Amino acid sequence: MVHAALDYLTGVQNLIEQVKETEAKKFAQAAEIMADRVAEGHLIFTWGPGGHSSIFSEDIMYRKGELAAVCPIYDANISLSHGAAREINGMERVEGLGKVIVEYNRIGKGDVIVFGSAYGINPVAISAAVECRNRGATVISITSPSFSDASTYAGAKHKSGASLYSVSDLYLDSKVPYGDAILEYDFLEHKISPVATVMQAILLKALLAETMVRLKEKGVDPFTWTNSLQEGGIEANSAYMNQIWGRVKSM
Amino acid sequence: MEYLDRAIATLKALDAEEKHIQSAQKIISAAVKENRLIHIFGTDTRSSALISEVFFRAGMPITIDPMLDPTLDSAHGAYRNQMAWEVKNLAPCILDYYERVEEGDPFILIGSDETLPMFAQSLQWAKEKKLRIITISDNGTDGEVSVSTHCGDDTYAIAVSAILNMMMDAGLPEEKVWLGKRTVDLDRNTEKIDKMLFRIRHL
Repeated sequence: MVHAALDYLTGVQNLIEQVKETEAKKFAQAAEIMADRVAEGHLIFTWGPGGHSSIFSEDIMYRKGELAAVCPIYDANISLSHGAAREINGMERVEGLGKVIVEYNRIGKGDVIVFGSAYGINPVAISAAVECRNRGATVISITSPSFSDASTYAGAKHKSGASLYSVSDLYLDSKVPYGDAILEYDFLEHKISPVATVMQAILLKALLAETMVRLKEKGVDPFTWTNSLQEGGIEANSAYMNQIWGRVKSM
Repeated sequence: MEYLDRAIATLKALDAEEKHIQSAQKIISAAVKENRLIHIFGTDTRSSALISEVFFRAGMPITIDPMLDPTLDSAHGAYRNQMAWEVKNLAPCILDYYERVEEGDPFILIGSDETLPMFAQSLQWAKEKKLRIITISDNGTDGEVSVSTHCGDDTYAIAVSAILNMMMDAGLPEEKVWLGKRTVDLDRNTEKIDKMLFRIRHL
């Protein structure tokens, strides 16, 4: 009898090992850029421009031990919370929305944005990344180039055929395999158990950890959130929260 | 035609509110001149939706601060909304999210039923914050200014829309209002948008 739960965990471990083997230098490069910008007083934008992709940005917000100098973008159109099929089958393919969301969030010169999309192909993601670069922002992506390259269905892709990794200043490869699901058993017709959200979230957390340490090395204490559910937590967070209220619409 | 007659009767009944509406207009105009935000909260689903009558609309003050919450938005479930109106201590939780509220700001509170916890606790919240309270409700209640809608349920939206429009001073200077004809002209308002985008939560 197979043990699917352990097979899944082993599969994820293997992917993480692959990331460790090939992406260390890029983590360092990306974290250095981000630490420099935070030290200058910028916030780091993060956005998962896709249905499940949007989850990775939610995971880091207002969370104990996480870097507070982030501005995650939560957009009602590009989120599962207003209808999964609405988003995946429709919204993320409306190219014009990418520019609207970038403009609304006032991403511009000197900013850094971390895009997260394992598939890295949808029109909103590509148009938004291009728009950010046109405005002088630095685009760092967490994505899976092999997945993007294997995705040939034009109906789900940006009209240029470009992929997120190809329109980014720097990308981290999350190693998500084409098809997303990793477990294959001869008694099941299809592969099961996707890994994209897990891998994307792990890479973002690793990147922010590296950024916080580099910030400290530059002489800047990275402000991190305290758990608001503990006594004194809200008070510990309030001064920094007051600084970013308004600017961070997702706060 | 019967409905139109009732609508006309509702609008005519608002004549009795002229003095209160003028008082509200003075509070709002003074706030606009002082660059204060004008906070508006509707305590039930329809009242909340009616805020759009004056928010980001050509000719209306740029400082209108709508307090819009999923709790009161039909897009998140009409039935769910109605159950939530009755929930105690939800109103302050919604209103505390608006961090730019300052003592002395106008607070327009709209509600078709003053007995609901959502209305009563919003009123209490505004008193504690020492806001200048303007209420729009069926019977008028204890705000600094209270305007009654004088209407039945079927013409409530007409009455509230008319009151909100009458409360806004048509003579405000151009730099204090959104420019445009039927809609806000984005090209003519770029500086104002830049100024207000991170001050008004829902802009």
